[in-house]
Amino acid sequence: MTEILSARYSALDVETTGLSPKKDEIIEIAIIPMLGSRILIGGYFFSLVKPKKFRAESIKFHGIGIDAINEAPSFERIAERVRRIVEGSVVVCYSEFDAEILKNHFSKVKMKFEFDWVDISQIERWLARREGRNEDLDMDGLIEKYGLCKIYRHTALADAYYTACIFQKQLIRLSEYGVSLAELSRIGKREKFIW
Amino acid sequence: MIEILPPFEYLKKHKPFSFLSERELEEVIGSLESEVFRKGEMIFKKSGKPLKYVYLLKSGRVKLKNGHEEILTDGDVFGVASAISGNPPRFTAIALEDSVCYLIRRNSFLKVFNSNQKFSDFFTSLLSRRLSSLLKLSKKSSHGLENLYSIKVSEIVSRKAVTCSPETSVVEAAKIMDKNRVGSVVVVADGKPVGVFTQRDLMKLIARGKDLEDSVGEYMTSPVISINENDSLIEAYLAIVTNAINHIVVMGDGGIKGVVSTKDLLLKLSSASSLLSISRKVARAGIDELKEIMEEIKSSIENMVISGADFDEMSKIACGIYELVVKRCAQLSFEGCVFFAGDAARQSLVFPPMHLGIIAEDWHEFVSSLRRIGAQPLDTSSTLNSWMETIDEWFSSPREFAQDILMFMDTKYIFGPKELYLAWKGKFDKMLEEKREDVIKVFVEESKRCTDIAKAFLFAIKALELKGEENEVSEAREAYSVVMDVSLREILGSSLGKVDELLMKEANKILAKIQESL
Repeated sequence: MTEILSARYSALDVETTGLSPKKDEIIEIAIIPMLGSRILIGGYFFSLVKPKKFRAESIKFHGIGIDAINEAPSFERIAERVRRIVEGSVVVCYSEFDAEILKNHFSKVKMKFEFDWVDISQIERWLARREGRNEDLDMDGLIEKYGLCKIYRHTALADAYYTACIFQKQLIRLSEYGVSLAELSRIGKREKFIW
Repeated sequence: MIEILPPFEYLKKHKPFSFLSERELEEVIGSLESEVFRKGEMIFKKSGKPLKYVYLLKSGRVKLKNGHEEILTDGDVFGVASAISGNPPRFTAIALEDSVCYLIRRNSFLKVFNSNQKFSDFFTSLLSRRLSSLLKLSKKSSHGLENLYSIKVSEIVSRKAVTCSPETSVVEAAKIMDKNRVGSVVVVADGKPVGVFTQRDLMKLIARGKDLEDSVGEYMTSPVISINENDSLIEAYLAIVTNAINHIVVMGDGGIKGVVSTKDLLLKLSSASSLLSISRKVARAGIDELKEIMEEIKSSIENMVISGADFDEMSKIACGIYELVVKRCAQLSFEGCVFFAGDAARQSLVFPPMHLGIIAEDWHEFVSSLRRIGAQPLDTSSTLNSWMETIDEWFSSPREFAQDILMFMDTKYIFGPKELYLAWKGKFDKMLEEKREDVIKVFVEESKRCTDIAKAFLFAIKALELKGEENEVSEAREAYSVVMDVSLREILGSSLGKVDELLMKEANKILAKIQESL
């Protein structure tokens, strides 16, 4: 078995108060663990998170009730659990934003915790280039391409699951190309230009 | 929050997991995994280690191999027997293309298997090939209720509204009800319904010693609840339930169309009884009425099948009524003997055409009457003497006449001089006895040659019957009615589900097994 098929992964999705990974806060977080290409659905983690400050409109946008948010634990209270799930795995998300904002949350609660991450949209781009196709799909496009159920709601838990399903199939193709874990880590991130 | 996890929604909609309670589904999800198997990859091996998981194919195709092969597609469940029993799998499973499976841990599968009767019945019926119980299980949830939404009120208003004015006396109203054989009169003033006076109202005021010369207007139920004839039955049902009444008035463009009672609705819901009321009309009908009655019968049957009635229960009722119709038609226009043959005689026929044997000098008018009323007779008709020759001819060359022999192995006397039928049957049975071995051989060959699974089953069943192999016969008969059930619903345009696919697959296996044993 190749290295990437025996590694551990954590499919991650978050809903947030806004689009800034520095200023905004997580209000909903879902993680689905994977062992190689096997999705451990039963081991899923999901929680609403009470942010320090928020505007009601941004919460409503996600279809989450204000009461539910007010009763939810703060990130500080779930941080340790999240760390234990993610530790030793590569975080898999649909955009680097999810990984960035999670990292920032850990540093905000003064927790020293580093993790590597990959972005399935970057992986898809790499695979497309490698296979001589020119495509650029958003999450819905990916969901359709991978034959996943179309009737679905954007919640962190559903999106984390779809992220896992897409990555599951990508992983198989990556292993065929003999991609190593170090290479996967590079493929899964946006290319940084060196000036 | 688990309910927004996509696999939860998937299982909830997927038989037999749809039988599970939320808590049981949570149990299954709690240990659920998903894995992708590469094209050509072996998922598990025959006689290998007992399975730790039950597999549910989510996408792709998987081949099961054990002597013969079986191809699974999305939605199929496999590995159940080994997971339940703890024995090694009886077949090898190989992915034919990249395939994604849900893996359910044996322990949680067993937990819900032991706690949920319907869920376990599904698998035990499947594993023991009790196809008819599997079929019933797959239908239970929908039985009859669609009627409420799909049928319009106008379709169940069988009687014209009987009316009177508010000034009519109670005695007079009772006479009107009696004369028209109804249980209620609509009280009308200025062309508008203002109330309903029912048998029950009458009973109450007799019991209370009221004056029967009083006017109906004083005792009627008012105001009157009415619905439009184009409403669906559910509206009528709700109107009756929410107003705690027994009768509602049905209105159409031209005013009052009729009355719908609780009884009418019940008849429609426990659908079999609607045909029973039709059967009472047959005995007095003329040819033209028989034609209407046949139409009515067919549409009632159609409704019942669509709302979940089994092929077996349906065909028993249908054949009983067709028998009445044919008998009535014979009374009106025929001198001679007539009997059912083939599926009508076996009571395994839901819609015409029906096979008939006729012994008479002149049968043309009778047969054309049957045609006119829509019975679609497929008759073999001759005088008794020519019948004897025909039977000889059939059995002198059973290969050529395999269909006819098959058809007339089952007969049921309906009308006319019974001695004619008995003479016919004596001859047929004697010839069949003489040529038994030949006929068995021909039937086995025909069964293997048939591409139509129902026909192939019939030949196999008849061959088994002739051999006297009772155990196999009952298994084959059960599979045959399941095949008929599925194809019947297909004909009526119902969309078939995964369970139907499963049933057909299992029936094919049973057929192959029987053909091999023959």
